[in-house]
Amino acid sequence: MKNEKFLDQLINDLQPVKTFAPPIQTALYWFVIAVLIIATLDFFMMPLRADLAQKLSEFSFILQWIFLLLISVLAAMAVSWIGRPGRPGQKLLINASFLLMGVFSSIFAARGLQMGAHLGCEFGGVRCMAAIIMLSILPAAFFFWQSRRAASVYPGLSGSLIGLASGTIGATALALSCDDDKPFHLLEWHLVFPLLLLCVMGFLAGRKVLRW
Amino acid sequence: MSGPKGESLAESQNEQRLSLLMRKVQEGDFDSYSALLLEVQVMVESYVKNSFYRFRNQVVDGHQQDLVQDILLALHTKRHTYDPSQYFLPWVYAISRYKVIDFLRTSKRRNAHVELDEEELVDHSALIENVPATIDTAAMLKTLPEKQRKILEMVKLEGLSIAEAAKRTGFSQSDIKITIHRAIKTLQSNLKRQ
Repeated sequence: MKNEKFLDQLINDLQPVKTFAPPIQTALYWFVIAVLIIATLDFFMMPLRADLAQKLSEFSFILQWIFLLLISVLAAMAVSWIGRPGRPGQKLLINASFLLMGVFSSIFAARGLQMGAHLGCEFGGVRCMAAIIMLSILPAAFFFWQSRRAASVYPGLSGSLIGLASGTIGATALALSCDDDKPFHLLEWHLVFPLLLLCVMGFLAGRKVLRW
Repeated sequence: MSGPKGESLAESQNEQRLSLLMRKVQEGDFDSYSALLLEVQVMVESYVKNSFYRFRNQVVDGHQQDLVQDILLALHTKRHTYDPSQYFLPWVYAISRYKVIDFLRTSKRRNAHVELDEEELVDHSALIENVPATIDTAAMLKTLPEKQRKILEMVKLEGLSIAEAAKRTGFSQSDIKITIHRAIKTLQSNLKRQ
């Protein structure tokens, strides 16, 4: 098609548009919805751990929660930032999300090594991983749907970050039900394996769903 | 911004002007859109040209205009993602960059198909035409699997096009091309053995 004709078509098609909400607002909106979804699913699907009251008074347990939720918020913000082309701060948020995840995992690895624990495959661990993935799928799907209207310039990466953001909330919720606090159990089955899987799944889905 | 002070100021003024136009475009102002598109078109064309120059081995120049239109369409459909509080030009270039990369990826795949069509098939066709008359073509074809034989007969003996063969068999065009390629490879190795 000739350029002049093409430009005329674009001009004729012009309609007023509502600009996107600021990315921080989009990210926090998703985060609140995701927490509500996961909390509801967790409440109905999984029994609370017997020692929850005692655990809630432990600083390390609360710190673990804060860390995970912070990673989730950062990853959600990174997705929202990537969805606005040319916006500064995208790389910083992407790096911060993955870096914080790495630091958090390293803390558990260090604690496990200090205690002389061993890595291993256990049925309970696989169940924990499956639970995190199950809990995360719905909020992740919602985030994908929400991000379709955006213009992600890195669709695969956005998908991975959606997986990370959802998975960390799932891991936070599972901490309310799973009473196995061994560092390597948490490292393997609450963090590395489920989050890695969700990131890979998110990457593949992102390349399909968020391409425009 | 880099460059001499005067240039930076000019760039900044240009940025402000375009940003203001874009704000009006988001409100649905036709005149602003017309003015903005003309300016953005020049920028996008230049960006695409530079990108094509850098990747000149991978793309065909004829696609340059298609890509420019594709980018302009993307700017049109995603105009709600521009935040008026942010710079306009980085938004345009980020979208252009994304579209160019996407195009290069797609064209790389497309080029792979072109190689298969134009190089492999032509060479093998020549090989088949040069086969001595003493070789029983029908017998050779019988050595092929059913699908390969049928498709090869359609395209090489009956003279159907790839698209026609795809339509008749219900397979995709790329499937037809690959099947022919494999069939010819098999025939070639059978001939060598004989």
